[in-house]
Amino acid sequence: MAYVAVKGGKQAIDASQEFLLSKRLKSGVLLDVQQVRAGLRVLIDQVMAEASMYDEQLAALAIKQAEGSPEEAVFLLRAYRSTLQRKYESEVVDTGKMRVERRISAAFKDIPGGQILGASPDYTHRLLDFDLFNEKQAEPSQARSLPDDSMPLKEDQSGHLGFDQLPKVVEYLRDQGLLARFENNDTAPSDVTKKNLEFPSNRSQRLQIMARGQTGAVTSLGYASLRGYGAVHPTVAELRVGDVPVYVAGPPPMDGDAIDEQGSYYIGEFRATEVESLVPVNKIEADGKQSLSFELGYGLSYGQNETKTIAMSLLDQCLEHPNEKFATHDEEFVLLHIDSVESSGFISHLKLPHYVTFQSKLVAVRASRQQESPSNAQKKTGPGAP
Amino acid sequence: MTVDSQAFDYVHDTQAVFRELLTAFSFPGRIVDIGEQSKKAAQPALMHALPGTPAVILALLLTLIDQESPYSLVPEIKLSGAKAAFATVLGAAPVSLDKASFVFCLDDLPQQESVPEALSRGDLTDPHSGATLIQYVPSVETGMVFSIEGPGLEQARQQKFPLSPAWLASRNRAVEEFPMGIDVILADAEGKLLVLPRTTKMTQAVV
Amino acid sequence: MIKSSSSPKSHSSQLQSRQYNFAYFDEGSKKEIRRAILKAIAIPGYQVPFASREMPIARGWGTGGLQITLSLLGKADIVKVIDQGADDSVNAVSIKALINKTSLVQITESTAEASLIQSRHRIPELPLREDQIMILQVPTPEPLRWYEASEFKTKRLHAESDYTGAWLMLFEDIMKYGKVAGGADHPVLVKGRYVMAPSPIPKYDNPKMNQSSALILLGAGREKKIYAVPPYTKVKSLDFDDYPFEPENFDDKNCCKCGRSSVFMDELNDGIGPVRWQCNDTGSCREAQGV
Repeated sequence: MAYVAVKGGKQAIDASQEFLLSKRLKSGVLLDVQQVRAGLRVLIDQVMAEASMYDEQLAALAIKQAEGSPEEAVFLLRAYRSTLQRKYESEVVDTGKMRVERRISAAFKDIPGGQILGASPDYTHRLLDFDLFNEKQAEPSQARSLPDDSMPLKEDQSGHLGFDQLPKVVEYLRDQGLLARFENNDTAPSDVTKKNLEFPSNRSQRLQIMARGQTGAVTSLGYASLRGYGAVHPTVAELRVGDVPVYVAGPPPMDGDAIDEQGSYYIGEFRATEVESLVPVNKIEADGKQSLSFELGYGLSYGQNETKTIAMSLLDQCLEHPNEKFATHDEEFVLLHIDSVESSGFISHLKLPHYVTFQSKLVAVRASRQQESPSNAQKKTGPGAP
Repeated sequence: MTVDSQAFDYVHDTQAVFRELLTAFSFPGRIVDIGEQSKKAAQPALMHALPGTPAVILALLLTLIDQESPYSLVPEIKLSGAKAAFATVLGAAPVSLDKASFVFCLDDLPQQESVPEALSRGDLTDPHSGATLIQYVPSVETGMVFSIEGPGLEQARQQKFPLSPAWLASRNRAVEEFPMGIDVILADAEGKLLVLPRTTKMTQAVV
Repeated sequence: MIKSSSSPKSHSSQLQSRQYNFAYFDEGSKKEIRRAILKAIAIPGYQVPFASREMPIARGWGTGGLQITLSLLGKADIVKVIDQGADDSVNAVSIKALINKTSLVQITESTAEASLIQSRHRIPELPLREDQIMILQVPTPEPLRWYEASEFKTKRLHAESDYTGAWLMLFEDIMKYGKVAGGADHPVLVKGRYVMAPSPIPKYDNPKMNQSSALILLGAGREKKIYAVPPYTKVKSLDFDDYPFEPENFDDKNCCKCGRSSVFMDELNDGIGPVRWQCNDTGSCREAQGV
């Protein structure tokens, strides 16, 4: 059947969809959504971050439906997100109150509260474990002996600080005057999913777009910058992974203009990765003297997505300092090309029929050849010619 | 499941109102009718929450406004209780005139006359941020004769508009630097509408 | 969320319409798109930015046009969707299925019957009426994009009516090839003010935009822009006095199905017989054949 037949398009699509479904079902082994949730935690985190929608159950469902394709799973979640009503904004989230599970600093050997390695593959040896072929449902006795992530670690390991009280490493630098201290800017964020991005962008928009950027794209651009296609040399002051509580303001008072004491409602928590990177920056004072100080590159994402979040903090700094020499410092180049749904959509649209526009190009190419050598016009052109 | 056909349907009635607006924007001066939707918008609950608001204006508020579209009412509502009521129904309280994308003017002539040029006209880079003025009038079908032409009009046409020469002068000043400008919706007590987008050239008809 | 009453349907499609709002989007999304559409009509040819929600169909596959269609759609509408002129193209079928799934609205292949026509890369042969709306899918809404990559800069070029880039692209073609070589998406000047990308319709279709009886809306989902050509508006394809605009010519070709000439045609070459020509607009071809 031709890609476009006068009849038959619908039947072809239906058949194609059945064939696709059969790929997932034909072995007879069906993946339980709970298995995805239990065993593909990291993929779920990646998908939630790129979809900018925090729901582990739905992410697991999307991954199952997409047969493991992150591109398709993110697409499914984003499309679902489009249908949800957006009525509230949370109060400002304080990541200082994160209940930390993992927290490290490359900038200092020791930090208040200590370097907490947490659960990370960083120091594992990447050797395929063939025993996993034989791994079955955990025996009840085995389950009990595994560390429970809700169990508090011994107090002296945290230096008498609770896990939701660990100070930010950058506070030390602020106290020393090496990092500028800013007044909180409580301007409402510009929600990039509700209002089109325009240039020049503001930092809120940049951070949102990077937070939901495709992991590979953000990582690659960060890598390019680090390798020399950029002018940012960061040190990770702090990377923390843990759970962050979210609050929503109570309903506004009905009588009078005075804002009474509104209650805040706790609506849940989400796992996040946060990176604060320090970049030395040359500052030229008004009197012409140069001084070196630090600026902060910031990265944040849903779930545990460390590589991307570190890259994000790097690119945040790149975009704070536009530089014509490097694409990684060009906000349009970075922000317009890292979205998974947009980039994969446009690339894959090349598969759509383009024969009308192609016919126009054929006409143009033939016309220009006719001008070069009229005798060529006699020869038959087009596909399928013997 | 019972469906109260007298209740304003937030899906289908807003769609119907929008389609009439779309026709009215596409064909300036053409009168369209949202009387049916206006009647439904004038439910006791909404009328109680937003007293004094004409039904047709309610229908337009429900169709166009939410927390993403700053809007203003002329005359300004002074009562904070009323502001809160608007906020509850529409998702946002009214803002000051200079910040509004949509301005609902319930004043009669001649108070209306200074409104058009007081509104935001957008700028050259973002002309779409020029405001939309919704002017409540007793009837869209009466008044002096004016001449209109421009996009949406196959030929220049003359018809009656409930406007004054002073209002027109103010509006024409507001739209003289296309693409910047304002777009005007006239809405009357019976639920009839017409639209004068900034592209419509409007003059007093020579009698 | 108020659901519309629906006519009896199969269980799975009833389930679909129960899980999603009428015409897929939540009302907040529709409101934002509707506001953008009204402003687009008020400023012919100017690209109005909009939030552009993700759709169940991929970016680049018509989400802009679809967002417009779904925001316009009411129970009484009759919708036609074509791609490359064909009702039965895989992508058109897929879009129609989504529209139907989320709204249960009537679908047609007849241009005359339709109240809303969504199309990728063609305007139908049959002249449209005032009560119809043409919705075009746009991949690249910015006519100056090949000249200037930066959105920041092209916004300012439009603000200043600086269209040297558009003229330059045509001029370069003439210098290189002796004629304007581009095929589809030939830029137009709307109401003497904005240069606009008409979407990759063939040059053949550009004249249909001038003084059209129907409203034309254009949606770019990925680029997040909506723009419009109101009815009875001047639309002129860019050209030079000594190199006037030249649409494709099919006067000497005949459709192998219906026999007509002077409509836009597809070239069919299956490598067996001689090259044949067939009406690109399949709906109008069927009507001409009386099938």
